[in-house]
Amino acid sequence: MNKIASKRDRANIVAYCFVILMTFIALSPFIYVVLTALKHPEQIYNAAEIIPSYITFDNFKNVLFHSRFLRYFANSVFITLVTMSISLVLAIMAAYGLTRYRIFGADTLKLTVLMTRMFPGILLCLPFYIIMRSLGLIDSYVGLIAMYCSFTLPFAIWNLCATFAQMPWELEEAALIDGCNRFTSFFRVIIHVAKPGIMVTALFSFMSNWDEYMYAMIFINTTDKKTLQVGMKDFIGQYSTDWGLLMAAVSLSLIPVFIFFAVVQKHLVTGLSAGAIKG
Amino acid sequence: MKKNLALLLILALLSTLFCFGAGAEGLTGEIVISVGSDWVDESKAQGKSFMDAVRAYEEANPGVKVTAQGASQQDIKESFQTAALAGGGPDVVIMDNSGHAIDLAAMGLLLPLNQFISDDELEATYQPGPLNSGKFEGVYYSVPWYLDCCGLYCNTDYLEACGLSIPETWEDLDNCLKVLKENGYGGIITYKSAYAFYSFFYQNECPVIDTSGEMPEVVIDNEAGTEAWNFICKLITEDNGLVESFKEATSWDKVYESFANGEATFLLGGDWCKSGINDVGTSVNYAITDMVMGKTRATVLGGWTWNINVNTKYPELAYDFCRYMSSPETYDILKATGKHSAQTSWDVPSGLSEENQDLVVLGEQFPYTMARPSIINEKTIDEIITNAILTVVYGQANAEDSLAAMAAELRANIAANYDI
Amino acid sequence: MMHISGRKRKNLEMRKNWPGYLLIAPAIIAVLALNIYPLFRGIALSFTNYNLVRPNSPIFNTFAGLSNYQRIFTDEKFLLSIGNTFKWTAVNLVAQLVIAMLLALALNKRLRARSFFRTMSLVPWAVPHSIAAMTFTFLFNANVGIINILAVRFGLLSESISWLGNTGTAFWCVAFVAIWKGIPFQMIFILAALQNISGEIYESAEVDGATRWQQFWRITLPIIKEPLAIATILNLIGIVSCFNTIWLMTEGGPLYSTEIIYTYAYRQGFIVHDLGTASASSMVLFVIMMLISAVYLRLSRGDKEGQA
Repeated sequence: MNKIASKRDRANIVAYCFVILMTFIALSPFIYVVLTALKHPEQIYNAAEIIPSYITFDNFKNVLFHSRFLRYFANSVFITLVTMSISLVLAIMAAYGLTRYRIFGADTLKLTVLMTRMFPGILLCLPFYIIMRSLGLIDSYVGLIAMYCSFTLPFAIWNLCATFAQMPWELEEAALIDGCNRFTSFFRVIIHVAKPGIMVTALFSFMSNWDEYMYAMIFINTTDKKTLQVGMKDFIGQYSTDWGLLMAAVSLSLIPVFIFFAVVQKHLVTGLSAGAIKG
Repeated sequence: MKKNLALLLILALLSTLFCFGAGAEGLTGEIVISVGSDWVDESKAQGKSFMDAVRAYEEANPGVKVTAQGASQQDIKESFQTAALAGGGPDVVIMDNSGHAIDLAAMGLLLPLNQFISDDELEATYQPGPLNSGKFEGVYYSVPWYLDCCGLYCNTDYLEACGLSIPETWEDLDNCLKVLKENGYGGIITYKSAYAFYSFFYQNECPVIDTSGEMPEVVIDNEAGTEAWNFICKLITEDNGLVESFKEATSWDKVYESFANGEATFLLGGDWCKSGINDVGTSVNYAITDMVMGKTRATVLGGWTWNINVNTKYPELAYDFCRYMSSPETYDILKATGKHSAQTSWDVPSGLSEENQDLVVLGEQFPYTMARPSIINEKTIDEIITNAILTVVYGQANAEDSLAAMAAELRANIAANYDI
Repeated sequence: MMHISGRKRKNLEMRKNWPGYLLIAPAIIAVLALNIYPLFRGIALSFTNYNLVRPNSPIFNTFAGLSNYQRIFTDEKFLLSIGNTFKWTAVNLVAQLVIAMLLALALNKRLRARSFFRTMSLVPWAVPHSIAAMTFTFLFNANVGIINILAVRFGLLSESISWLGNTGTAFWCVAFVAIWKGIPFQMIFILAALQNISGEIYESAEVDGATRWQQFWRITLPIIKEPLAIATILNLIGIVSCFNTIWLMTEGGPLYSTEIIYTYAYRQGFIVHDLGTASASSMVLFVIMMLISAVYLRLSRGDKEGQA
């Protein structure tokens, strides 16, 4: 037993070193972003000031109080959350249907759905514009959210199908025997056990919409309706970039993502390993 | 209809005569204009002056509503193209004069100006360079707004250290670079594109691509062109004249940074580089001067123009707005931003504010500044020339081979876009 | 007789499974309704003469047969971009898969401050593509980039070089950024899949004397195989369409050394303005992706059936 324990310790040390190294690599560019946000303009391109010797919070102040940042921020949060909720609900329904019922041509259907994401999206802008224009949804959130949903759904369905397919039938059967109907068993058991998968899907949906630029740029024109990614581009002019403001905006824009990450990763552990089967 | 048009013309003329006149009275409608985000950001002088001008226009024309939409400068053309191809888009859009308007005109997305104003009148009102940057198949499509000329920024500290004076001719430049190299100083930095290099061809009286005939003709490898190309290659290979940063200068920031940090002694660029360099913060002393002279004086032109969407519901109003924005009535915008109007009547020194007087020297290049070839897919042409320069920089080809390959590629490209 | 009863059975099955159809309908309709037209339009354009800058040409918007394909396959740049796409995909996929797997395994251990490390290792995902590209461009900067400064200080380089401006290094620098950005996505999928393995299995395996290597191949991998396959395919789609990173860092250059099919298609569509060849090159990418996905899914599924 002792031997195993010491072996495990050694493995843990290796794991620690690796995780710390990876965290460092993951964080260093981000730290650079934050440091740049704290710099005066003349420090940004100064090799001796990579770590600033004096700092300023002007960039943050300007971004928060003298730009449309908060407005764009709110727009993005709204669009992202709505898209995420809609695509999660639809994807959970679809994945449940595809894995728990015998659907004619299920595999082909899944593949077709995924196929739509394999054609370079940039070239589909024009046909999308034609559709949205005929629906009168140019410069509207409804149009953008609809498009975003159609972009994230294929991934969400696939991922959730994999999650649901892995869950043993016995779980549901046990719940059904306990007097649940399919609906309540779904909410009491499935959702709980599938949490890691659902969380990852939510995270994926959140991130891909939060990060999207091309469609938001082309389909939203009114200044007050712009999303954060499009709005942040304002700091990049044709001939010069306001790095301080841009990096301050980026640092601030990452806050909700971090919060979201922290919440999601906490729920990542409550799958089968947390004892749903045993319990 | 004709009567209306004539009336409109007279009114348009009248409004130019009376600086703050009532404008084209009777114009009504709503137009959407798409401009760079800087122009609608009223927290800065640039946006403030722009939006003031827009509001003044609305006040002078009671039935008119103008909605300004800000877009990222780099993406204006793409988003306009997509929207207009689908039958929508803003009524008026501003465009960099580096060939975008020609492409959009070729796609049939812009309204030609000859339905509003005669060519003679246009030519009398605006400088030929910017006007030609929006000329496609003999028809004008763009109302020129402001323009800039490529000049030479010199690090005078380095020149003094080497006992050199500011170069004025090709020979001077060649000599400067040689001496600088011996003393361990860097050479030229500029944007990684053909932009600044066009100047050398123009200075040797080679238009690179001759667009005067019915079909554009590649003349980059004629005698004058070959001479200019050999000169460029000599600067690159013998004098080691392009600094390392040139290879990655896909944004102007990189250009300012290289110059401000003293990597390069010379910077080729327009008036915007001054604020760019100063924003980086620099301890070097530098001078702004006109481009070196070859056989003749010449330099390359940049700037922005006003263009009208073919899908607009109010063409007259859209045109009148473009005319207004490029007219002396809105010179305040240019003064606030240090830009030069494309109007022939523009007076360089008085048009610039106090702190920008050192840019007068660039403005004085107007008489001999030339637009990039007004040709379909100018960006591809630019890419071909840039890549030829890069093959020389990397030592993959000599002057002769790279020129032959480039000329062949240019011809193939034009053939694909023009002949039937 | 047989036929009818077969259909009857199918009808019966339909009736039994109707809630399933009802459940999948909204999502499938949403995806297909919005995507099918653009997709088919894209495919159709690849067989059409559609050079945007020549709308008055008599052949504009007419059936082109395979001429667009012929044009791109005789274009050296396109052939180069196919090679680059494979290289790009292989480098990204292998690096991301291996590192993500190791990271997920490590983060699945009961380490101290595990949730901190988990959150932090997701940071690259949170940084938008454009910002990641611009930040790394800064770090690789030939003059004031920290990478050059350190390399020169430690004597690895005699003088600063332009990492993004030289044909030999640009590809690897851009790939590094894409890998950096892509690891969290793959990692979190694997980590979620690992939750389905109860710790007891390992403990009993350990008592049986199985080495870590054996445990990984015999226990871990078979259990997470299917989610892993799906995550990999989703990741693959992300890798080949990693347009922003490449375009903002090098614009496919220098001399097309970072040009992949996606950037080529963009160049054809928005710079050369020929939607025909742009769509044709997109179709090539589309077909390659479909083939890879089909083979990959078949493989991972075939194995499962073999086991069962």
